[in-house]
Amino acid sequence: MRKKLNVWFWIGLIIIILINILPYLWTILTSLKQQNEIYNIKIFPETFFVENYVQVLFESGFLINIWNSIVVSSVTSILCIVIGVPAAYAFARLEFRMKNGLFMLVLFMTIFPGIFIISPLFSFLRDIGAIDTHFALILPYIAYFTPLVVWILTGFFRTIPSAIEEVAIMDGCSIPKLIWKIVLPLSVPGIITVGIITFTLSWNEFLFALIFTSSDNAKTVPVAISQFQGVHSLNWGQMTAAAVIATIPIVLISVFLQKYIISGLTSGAIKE
Amino acid sequence: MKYRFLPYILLLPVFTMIVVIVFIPLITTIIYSFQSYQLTNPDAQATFIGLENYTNLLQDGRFISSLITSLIYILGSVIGMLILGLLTAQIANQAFKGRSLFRASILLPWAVAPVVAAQSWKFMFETDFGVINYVLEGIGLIERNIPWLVSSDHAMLSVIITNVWKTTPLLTLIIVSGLQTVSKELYESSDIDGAGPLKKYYYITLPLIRPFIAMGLIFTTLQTINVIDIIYVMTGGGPGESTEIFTLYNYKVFFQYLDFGLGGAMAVIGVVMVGILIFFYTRSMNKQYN
Repeated sequence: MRKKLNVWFWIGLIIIILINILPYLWTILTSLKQQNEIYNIKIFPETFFVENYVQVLFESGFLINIWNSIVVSSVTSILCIVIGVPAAYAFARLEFRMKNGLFMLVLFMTIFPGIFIISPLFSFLRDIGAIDTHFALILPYIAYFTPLVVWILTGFFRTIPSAIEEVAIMDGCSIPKLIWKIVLPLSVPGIITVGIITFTLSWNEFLFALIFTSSDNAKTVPVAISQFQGVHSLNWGQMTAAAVIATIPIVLISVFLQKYIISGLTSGAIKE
Repeated sequence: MKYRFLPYILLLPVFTMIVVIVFIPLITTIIYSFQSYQLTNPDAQATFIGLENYTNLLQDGRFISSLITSLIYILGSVIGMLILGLLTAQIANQAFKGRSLFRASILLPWAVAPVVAAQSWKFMFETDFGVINYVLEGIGLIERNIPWLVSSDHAMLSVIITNVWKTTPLLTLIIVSGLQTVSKELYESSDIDGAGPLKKYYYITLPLIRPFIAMGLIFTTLQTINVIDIIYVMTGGGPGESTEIFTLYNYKVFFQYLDFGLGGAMAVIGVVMVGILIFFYTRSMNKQYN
């Protein structure tokens, strides 16, 4: 029995869509305006002023920051998956002592605020000479995002029937081989999910990036954007152009692959 | 078949990372908190000073006021997120044409980096050429431009709005997954009783999705405290210290004043408070079953 949706439903729907997209839409519009259009609050630019984009991309160091973000985020997501898959398999399929306690610890790690450990971490990274390198970000990102990967994939592995694996084990297949040959191919959607989520989280992360990088050697996009005004003396056209460039890939991925992200963010319903 | 060591071998890499990057630094933070340890003096040695950092903190008006500021920021955000999140989830849970487009629009604020969200909203909140004042004036709600980010009366509201915009999607998605567990039959039986939609929502839906709301609030509240990006970019904690939440102040103590001892004590207090917060939420979540 399907209820009729009334007019209030559609009004609510439109308001919520507007709330969600207008700020970003306004950012895109602003990035295409000339300075005087911005200060006189013209809603639409007269001509699409792409100069903002040209300047951000070719006359500031922004491309280097994008490159840093690409390196850090890709390496982080791959390593999170490499480290996370075996752990998730153990939690989903094997019995061992302290399993529940360790699993709760993993869950707790996904929400532990980074600021509380940041100063010793800074000293540690400085002592091993890692400050202002990609490594200084990749290392903490792996520690912070792998628990999330473990959490999501454990839920995912439990939904895969284990019958095939039992047969394979009886045939003498070793566990690492089993993960590689049977579990992984069946888990492609789960892997895509955690891949997108860890990539997005690393791409957007700010606090560690702010403190552990100091120059364009390793400075990622969020840090560059947060410091943008200082370098370019409050140029909102360029600022918003940089914001759009920095977010478009992530926004497109999450809009087109939304079902993966939603399944990951709500996996087992009781998780982030 | 028994695997004695295999599970631990499979877990070893991830727990090594957790121990090296989180546990050891956490213990070190606790040690710092009992030391006088300032980076401003390069030759300074860390010396044990007992509870002095803690007693200093309790006398630090700025620390106390940062706690109150955090509380206002969290409360405001939670109220905003709950209203927006429950409403959005209710709509997203209906079957209608274009639902996946609607869900995509929900994900947009989640995907945008907090720093980018902060810059976008900062621009919209600009006093003289911000679009928010422009619209409010256009529809006649205000006569003079509101100095959103530069007056301590309005700055808090501005950062709360931005945080709600950025963080609600996560809560929404968790509530939607809760709504999907509510069986349709419950509604149909109450249709017969002639209960109105609001009554049904209050008496049937809300109690059933309560654990999901609690879980969603744990994640979004911790994110609210943890992600200092928004306030850092929009106001830097100002004007004055009107938006300086506790974690932002902690960041400043560590990396602007370079006082790792005092900062360590703040962090330890922070960990305890986060623990209390989680306890509080989980208890309210479990009440449902008892």
